[in-house]
Amino acid sequence: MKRRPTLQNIILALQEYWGAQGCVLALPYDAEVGAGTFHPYTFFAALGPQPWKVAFVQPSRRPADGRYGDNPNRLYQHHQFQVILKPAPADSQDLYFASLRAIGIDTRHHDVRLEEDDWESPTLGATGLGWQVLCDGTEITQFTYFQQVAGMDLQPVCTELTYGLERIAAFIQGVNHVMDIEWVEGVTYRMLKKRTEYELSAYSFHGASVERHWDFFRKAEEESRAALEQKLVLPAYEWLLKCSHWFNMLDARGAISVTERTGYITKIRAMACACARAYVDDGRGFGLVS
Amino acid sequence: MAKPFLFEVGVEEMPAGYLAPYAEQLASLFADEMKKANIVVKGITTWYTPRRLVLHCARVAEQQPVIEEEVKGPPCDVAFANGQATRAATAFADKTGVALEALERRAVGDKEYLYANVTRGGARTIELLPGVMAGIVRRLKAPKTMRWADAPTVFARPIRWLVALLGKELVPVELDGLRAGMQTRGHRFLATRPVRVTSASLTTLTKKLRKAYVVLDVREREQQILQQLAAHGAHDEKIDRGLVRVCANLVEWPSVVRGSFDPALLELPEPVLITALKKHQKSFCVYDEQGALAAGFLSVANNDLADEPRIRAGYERVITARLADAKFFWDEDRQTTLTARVERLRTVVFQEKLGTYFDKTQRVAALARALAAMSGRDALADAAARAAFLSRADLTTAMVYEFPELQGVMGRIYAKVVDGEPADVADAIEEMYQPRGADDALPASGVGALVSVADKLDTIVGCCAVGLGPTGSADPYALRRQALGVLRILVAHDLRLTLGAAVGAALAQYPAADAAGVGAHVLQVLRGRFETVLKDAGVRYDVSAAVMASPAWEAVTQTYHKAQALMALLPADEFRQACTVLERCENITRAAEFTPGAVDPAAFVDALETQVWQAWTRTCELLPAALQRDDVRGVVGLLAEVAAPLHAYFEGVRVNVEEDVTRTNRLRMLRAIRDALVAQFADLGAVVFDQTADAAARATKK
Repeated sequence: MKRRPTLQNIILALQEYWGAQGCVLALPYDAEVGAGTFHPYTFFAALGPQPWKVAFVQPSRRPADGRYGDNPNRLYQHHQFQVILKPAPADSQDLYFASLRAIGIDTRHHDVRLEEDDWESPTLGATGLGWQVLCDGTEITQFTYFQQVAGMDLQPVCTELTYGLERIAAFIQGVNHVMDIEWVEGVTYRMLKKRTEYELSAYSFHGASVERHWDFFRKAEEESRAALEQKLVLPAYEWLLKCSHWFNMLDARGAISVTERTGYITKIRAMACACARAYVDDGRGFGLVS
Repeated sequence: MAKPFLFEVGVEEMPAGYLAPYAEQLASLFADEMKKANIVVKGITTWYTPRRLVLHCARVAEQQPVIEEEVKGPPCDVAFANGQATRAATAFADKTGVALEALERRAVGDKEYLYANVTRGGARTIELLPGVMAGIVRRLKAPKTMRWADAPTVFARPIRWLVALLGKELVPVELDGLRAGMQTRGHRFLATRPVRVTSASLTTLTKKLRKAYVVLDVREREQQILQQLAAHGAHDEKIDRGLVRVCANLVEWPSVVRGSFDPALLELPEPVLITALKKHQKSFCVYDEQGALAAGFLSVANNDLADEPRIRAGYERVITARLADAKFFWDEDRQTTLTARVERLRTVVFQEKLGTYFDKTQRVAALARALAAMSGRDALADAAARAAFLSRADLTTAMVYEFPELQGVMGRIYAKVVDGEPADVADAIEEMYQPRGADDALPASGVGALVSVADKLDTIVGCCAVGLGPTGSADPYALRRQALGVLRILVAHDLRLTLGAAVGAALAQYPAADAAGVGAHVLQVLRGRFETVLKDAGVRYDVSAAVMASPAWEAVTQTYHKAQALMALLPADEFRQACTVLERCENITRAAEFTPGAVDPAAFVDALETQVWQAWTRTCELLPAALQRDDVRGVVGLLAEVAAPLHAYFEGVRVNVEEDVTRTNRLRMLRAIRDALVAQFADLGAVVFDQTADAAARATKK
């Protein structure tokens, strides 16, 4: 990468690279999600036989990981750059390593390593096998061959790449604290994000009303079911995402015991599977092509 | 003629733990298949790196041997009817693959039969190998496998290339459209171009791969890592060999990087530093001359370190961040005492049906106290109860949340530095988890032993009470392993209690449980494990059966020593005689039908009877004291005094006489002696003395 390795330029370089590989450069999903996998362009598009290539940045919220913006590595909200290649190309790895060179990581002179990591999202019924990619010991990407989504075997298998943008930027820029990352010349991560991190951390650990969040959860669950009964898959899915986020909020708030936890995850997964099943049965994809 | 064979499966980076098992399967499946195909092979070896599995065979016969044989068919009068071949004839021709007209007629005795001259084998190995090798790859098993293309083959990670050569000839193996070639790949980033393989020579392959930055032999990679660690000053005795093995399976070109971190981070306890470096970064610790941890680390890179400072800087940054995280947890955790944390355990579930960890620690504390009283360790009771009370509090610390493997270790450390607990209490918190497996060390301290036994016994009893106990091969909570731990600790720490009482005390904490049923189940589990303990201690099966037949076995520590003492007595004549006569007591009374009851000395008819009874009465007076002292030799000595008159009695007196009163009285006496000994000591009649004769007889029969 010839340009200054700001977070902004890293995103641009990744978009340019994957755009040139034929990916749709999609936009983030406008709902609270814990990872790019929740984006409908991953969750639904991975199902069924249609080929699909997409890349997008997805802001991802993890209420329990919030550290008021103080911790050098942990964030309430971090940013994933996600790529889906369906079917998984035989040269998936080569394409990925070339993308690292495109953002200025010289794979010849760094210790770039793939260590086994069996990825799983229990709430989405999704599993995959692959690696965490380490660069000189820092985890920079999750590289997964998706095997199942919503409990269904994927046919074909797809490649999911999830770049941890903050980790990569900190690594390339050689900074020790996420808040010191340069977003664009003269603008740091701190200037843009510190307040969000601080307030959302304070809110998820102390401020949020447990009672109202349980109420939100139940109502969203109800609404999701109602939407699905009308065969409206995406609205049902959006309400499910709310459930998932509010569940995470309640978890961060310490309102969910270990035993209850499994029960709620199973509940959310059942809803996700129902949405996925409806999407597959209808067979019309995002274009509503019958 | 024989040629070398080389086969390589090129894969995307495989999980480190899968490589050796895959290689073993590859070798054994290849040997099996070649044997099945009747192809002679010699010198099979396998090799691996994260990106390849290689099989080499020094000599593979180029062809199957040709086998000619005559196969006898149906009689000609069945095979032909009116000059036409019948179904019997055509079926025989089909089966043997010989044309009908080529079948021969041959007279056997006074009958003519059809014969086929069949030629088998002779196939060229190079034509068989493609099918065989593809089949082998599909049959290799791993704990987790995946699909990666629209193809039936599953494997740990995607297979991307194949090399197969017999001598200098390409073997056209094909796997779901992937064809074997004569080209392998070097290091993913350091090698600039593919590596051409033109013959099945292992030496050449190894050499060519080395030029392409790949060390094929895992032992050599391990050696290189060890040498480089040593060169960087690692202390040999402190090198974690398991970690070396893992690292050697993660890289093709190992290079050790040495880095440092802020010495202020050395404030972290040693186990935290070691675990943080090992778990997150697969890195080794560095020690100074005095053997204390230094502010450095050693990491194994998959690189030639052409730009070492750059890689080192990356590692230093990430390791410093990791340790800074740990430091944050360390500072946070020390704000709260373990004592205060115990209350938080009310929300931490131990097991859905068994309540929270708070409940568990309460039970374990009470049980540890009870066990201390039972085993005469009252002096340790307070410390044991205190340790049990604090034992799970570290579950609520950030450090244990981050590094679950430090559970117990952090409990010990925090108990000492935050709560200011005495060493015996603090150490027992860590020792409670020992032994973690069959080979793990036992708690070193008496307090640790009591808490460990109490904790395990509580888990076993609780799980059995809610139907989670072991049944058949299912043991979801690994209770048998815990039972084994309990027994090993009791024996090693000379804790003298009876299991029935200990289990009863544990059960008292579960008021709702069906005490009789659960107690019996738990004792049965413990019994099974204790038999293993005896076997592992070298106790013969019959001696084990003898001691286990007595209800006194539940005093396991004494039983353990009793079994050892009896083993030592096996060569002694008086012991042999005692056992033999007791066996006769058992045999005679078992076969006879009689009304049990008290012996009536007035009904004795023979003087020999009276002599036995008098000897037995004397023994009965002295026996309790000997048993009390666990004086096995003394007990056996007392038995010898009864054994002699008993022997004379069996020689001179018929037990099963017609007269019923005399007969019943005689049987009752023999039964009384036998039963009293089984009840209090052992069923010595079960000890086998003609073992060698038995074994010899069995051997000749074969």
